[in-house]
Amino acid sequence: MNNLELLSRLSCAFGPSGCESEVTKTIEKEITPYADSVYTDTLGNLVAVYKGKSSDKKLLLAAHTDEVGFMVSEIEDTGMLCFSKLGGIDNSVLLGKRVTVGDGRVRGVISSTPFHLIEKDKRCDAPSDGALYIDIGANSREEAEKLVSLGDFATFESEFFELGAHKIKGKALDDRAGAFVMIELLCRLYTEGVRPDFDLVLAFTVREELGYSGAGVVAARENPNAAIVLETTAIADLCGTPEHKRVAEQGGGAVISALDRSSIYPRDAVEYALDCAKRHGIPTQIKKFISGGNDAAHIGKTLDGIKVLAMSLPTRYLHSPACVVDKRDISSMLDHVYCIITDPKTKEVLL
Amino acid sequence: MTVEREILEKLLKIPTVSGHESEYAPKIKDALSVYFDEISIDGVGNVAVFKKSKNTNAKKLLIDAHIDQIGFLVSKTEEDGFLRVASIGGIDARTLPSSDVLVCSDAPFFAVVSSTPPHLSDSDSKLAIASEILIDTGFSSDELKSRVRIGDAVVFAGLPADLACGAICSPALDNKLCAAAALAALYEAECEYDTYVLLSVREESGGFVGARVGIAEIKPDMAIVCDVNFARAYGAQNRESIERGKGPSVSISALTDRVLTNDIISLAKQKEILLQTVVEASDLGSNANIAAITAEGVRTAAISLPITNMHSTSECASLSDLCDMKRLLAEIMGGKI
Repeated sequence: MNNLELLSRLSCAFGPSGCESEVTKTIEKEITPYADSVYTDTLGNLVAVYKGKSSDKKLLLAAHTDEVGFMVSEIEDTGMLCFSKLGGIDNSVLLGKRVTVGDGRVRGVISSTPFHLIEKDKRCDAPSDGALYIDIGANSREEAEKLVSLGDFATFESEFFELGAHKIKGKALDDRAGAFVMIELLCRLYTEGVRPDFDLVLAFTVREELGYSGAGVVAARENPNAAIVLETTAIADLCGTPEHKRVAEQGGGAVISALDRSSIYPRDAVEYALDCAKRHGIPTQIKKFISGGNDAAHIGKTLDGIKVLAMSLPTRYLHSPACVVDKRDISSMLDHVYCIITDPKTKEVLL
Repeated sequence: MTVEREILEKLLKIPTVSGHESEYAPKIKDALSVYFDEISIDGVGNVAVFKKSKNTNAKKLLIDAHIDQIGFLVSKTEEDGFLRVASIGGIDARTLPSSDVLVCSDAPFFAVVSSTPPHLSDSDSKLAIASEILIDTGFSSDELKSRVRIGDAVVFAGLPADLACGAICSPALDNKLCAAAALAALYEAECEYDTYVLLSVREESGGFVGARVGIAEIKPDMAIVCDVNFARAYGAQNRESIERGKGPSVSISALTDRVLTNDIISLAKQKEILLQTVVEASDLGSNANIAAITAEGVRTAAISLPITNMHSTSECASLSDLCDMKRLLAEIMGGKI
């Protein structure tokens, strides 16, 4: 896989839900040379248009730019920051992790009661929300208030690195990895001089992790004939997980959802995506266990209903500072979406 | 950069998990050889740094700071590129999921502790203890077996980083922070005593093995045990914690020498060095528990530095406390007690 440097920058960019501009600005710089037009809407969704040979139909691709994060909710006399979570984060991945807070990008560490001082039978309980706070080094409210304010956004600070032979580890790969695939796709289409049979709209959306997503707004404005959400999915593939609870496997290609907790996907679109991969010899897999949900739910019920597909990178440890993605899956997903877009049957079957 | 910070960063670069003394003790010695001439390694791997008194027939002062850190030893390579580990020292299960680790095999590499995302978890399940966790290496099973041997050390990854207001965070500040304070003090002090800084091994792994052996070998007239202590935090009572940024603390205990302890308090006052006190009646949670009863008996005091998140991936401490501890120890070495 090329361009690991871009994925690293996307992963490390600061973008908790509701505060995505650092991410969308990074993406805007990358896509502007390749897109026919680019705009940012009132919510901060970044949208690029890549014109087709014909403009009678339109396909929307969407990936969200936000990540799970935190918001400062109280500054204590001791200088410690209380916080609320933005998105679903399990408290087991918080203690001792480094975070970045506010516009000043102040470093902090998530802290709680030292474990030696906890009763023995409670030492394996994840700390409760009220027992967690962010330590930025300040020893008083006055010191802290010089650096951060109530309402400041925060996110994990996490080293991006290659893991083993084929994988990468970093924060926010949900869904920066999906956004990365969209950027690479646009670059590839442009560089090869390929124009699809329809207009392509690429949306880098906001606030997915909060459940009140910005993706529906883009769909309402653009009114596409169909949409494909490029996402990540939890996979439950750790050793010891029984077969019936496994969602997907890393290295097996993009995961096509037939059903998740927020959408039932149109059977014909699912079959077409699988068929397309098969015809072009691209690895793909179908989601085997019902979990999660994504922007497909918001796009699908926009206007008079939009046919929507979800393709996801099989990802370990979602919503933690250490998401793990397989580079081979990123390549497979890129090839898969590229084939769907360039396949002569797509316009007739999907749009 | 101050000498204590420079030494601290050098110490933090060397993984020091118990059992691997024969690898790490020579590395510690090398790292310190630019500052000191007399460094020795004993049979269990303790590194003793010595500076002679300017007087002849001087008494012997020993400053103990354990140099080992909590960590893991690889116990098994699993299918799909996962490692199983055994814990060395009191690992906090609450800090494990999704932490970065360094696998210290012949060619060291980064890996990550697995976690369960909220999409797949039962909300009230107990966290896995260290022996139950899976470490994800990203390698295939065959490649992993060729890279890793059973018994290889694993430590929390993460470089020291600055926080605001002169604080820093890093894994293994317990107890390299105090080791750095003691070494910097020795480096700067005009020693009135024949002074040893004992970087003792195997404190975290239980039994105070290194300190027992090291103190008995040196037979000091006086020992000061330096270790980290709990900084005030959510859920930590005032009586069992000290404040960060207010200097080191001296422990008041039935296991230490009260006269020596009071002398240290007076000295700090006289030299205007911030010093707190904490009562640790019958358990100091450190080598100070056994220092006094080593060999033929040693006058012992215990001084500590406050850190938050003890035994986590990011322990946090104050550089001003580190400096205050260095100053206090340098005064003691200079014979002001």
